[in-house]
Amino acid sequence: MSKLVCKGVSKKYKDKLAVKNVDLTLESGKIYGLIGRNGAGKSTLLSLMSAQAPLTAGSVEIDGEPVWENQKSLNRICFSRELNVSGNNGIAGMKIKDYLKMAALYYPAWDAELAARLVDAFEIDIKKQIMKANKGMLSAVTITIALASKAEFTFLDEPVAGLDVIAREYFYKELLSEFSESGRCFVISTHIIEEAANVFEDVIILRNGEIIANENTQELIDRCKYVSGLEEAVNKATSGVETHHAEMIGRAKTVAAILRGGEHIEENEDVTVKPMSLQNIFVALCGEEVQQ
Amino acid sequence: MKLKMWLWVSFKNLVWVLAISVFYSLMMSTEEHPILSRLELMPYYLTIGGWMILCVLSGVSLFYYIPLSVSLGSTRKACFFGLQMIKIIPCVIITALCLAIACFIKSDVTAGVLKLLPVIFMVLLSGGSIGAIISCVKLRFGKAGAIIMVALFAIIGGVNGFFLASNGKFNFAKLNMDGDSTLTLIVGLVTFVLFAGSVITQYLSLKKYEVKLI
Repeated sequence: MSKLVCKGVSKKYKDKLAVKNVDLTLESGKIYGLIGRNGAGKSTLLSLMSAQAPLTAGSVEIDGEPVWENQKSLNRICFSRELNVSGNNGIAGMKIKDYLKMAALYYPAWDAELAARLVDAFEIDIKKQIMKANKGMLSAVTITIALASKAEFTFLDEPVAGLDVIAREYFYKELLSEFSESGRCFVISTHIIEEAANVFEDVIILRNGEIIANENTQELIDRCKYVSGLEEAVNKATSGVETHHAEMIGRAKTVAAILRGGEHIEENEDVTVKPMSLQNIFVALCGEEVQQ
Repeated sequence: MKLKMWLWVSFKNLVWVLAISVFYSLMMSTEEHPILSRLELMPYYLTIGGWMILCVLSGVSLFYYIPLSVSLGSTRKACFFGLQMIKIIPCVIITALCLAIACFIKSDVTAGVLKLLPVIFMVLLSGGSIGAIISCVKLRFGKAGAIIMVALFAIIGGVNGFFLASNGKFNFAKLNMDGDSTLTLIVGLVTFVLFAGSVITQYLSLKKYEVKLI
């Protein structure tokens, strides 16, 4: 099993620390969900792991080999970035077919057949210039590059942002099919959490450049509960338990409780304990507390 | 290093130079001097057109092919060598084309071209180098830096050009140097400084290059 290991990874832009001392291990044969609010550092972390941005501190290695300026390691990574359509810089003026040709040239394990199939399935007009393509088509191009690259560690940044529901369903189907066939490692950053939650084996939650959760998705969901009832009863039931995102409506209170090993909250006539979805957990951990 | 990709970019730049030069020839051809009779002046158009086009394309490459290459998993070191390739290859081929024209068409002008071949190569190389320096300065200091550099090069180039022309040292119309080795030396020195400057600035720009947009 291959491993990509980040040790003490930090990235500073002028005075702002975008990624703070991140320790993270990615294993092949897993799909990771990378979630966080806008500006939490998701894209920066993916850039750092794929050596598209230099580290301020720390190291990134694949099976003990550094990733920075190491072609051998870089051949095992694909970070399919969002495409720029502004037309000022970059490849906005390039035709999609030329971009795909370039990708085929660079990725040693490029699967031309799969790329052609995805181009057909997503109805990508390859003769179009990137700047003239709509958002859905651009997302489809980044997905095509990511899947057809066959890279052992593949990172997708907001891959479904511009896709309609049918295209998104198709993407998840293709992703799972590719995953089960190849056992590659995928890291998918997304804001459409609920839809992707079933696909993520592990979830990484970033807040202000720091990893605040990194564990098996189901285990995280199992140990996070909504506790609601009268304020006193909820406070009593959650005493000593890590709670987040308290919401008050009159005397009624709801909190998100995150249970550690052995902790348990008993439901009784005064408090109700309900399961949380991954999206709810994300909101509880990253959202501001709301008091009404 | 993705040699194929950088070769493709070099040849693409070369095609631009050829297209512009042919365009120049068409623009300059008249009934008295149809295009075929202007072929002997083609090295002149190739040099002037090449200088301008290579200056622009060499500069654009930093913003176009480098983010693309690095985002597709290339090392910065490979990109650095790629940038040197796209500076040098078109110059070599254009100089070879000038040589071929001079060999096939015998006239006073083309006889001058044969003497000027090293100068033609160096002028072309200086164009690519200037473009490369300006693009690196733009990357580091933004548009203001690039504008200052362009103005600086324009002033230096203009003053030197005026000086050379007014002294009759270099007559493009005749394309004849009359064996003046001082000019070759000056052009060589300037080209060396520009090329070395472009290599250093490109190295520094790529050393810690970060892909922000592709």
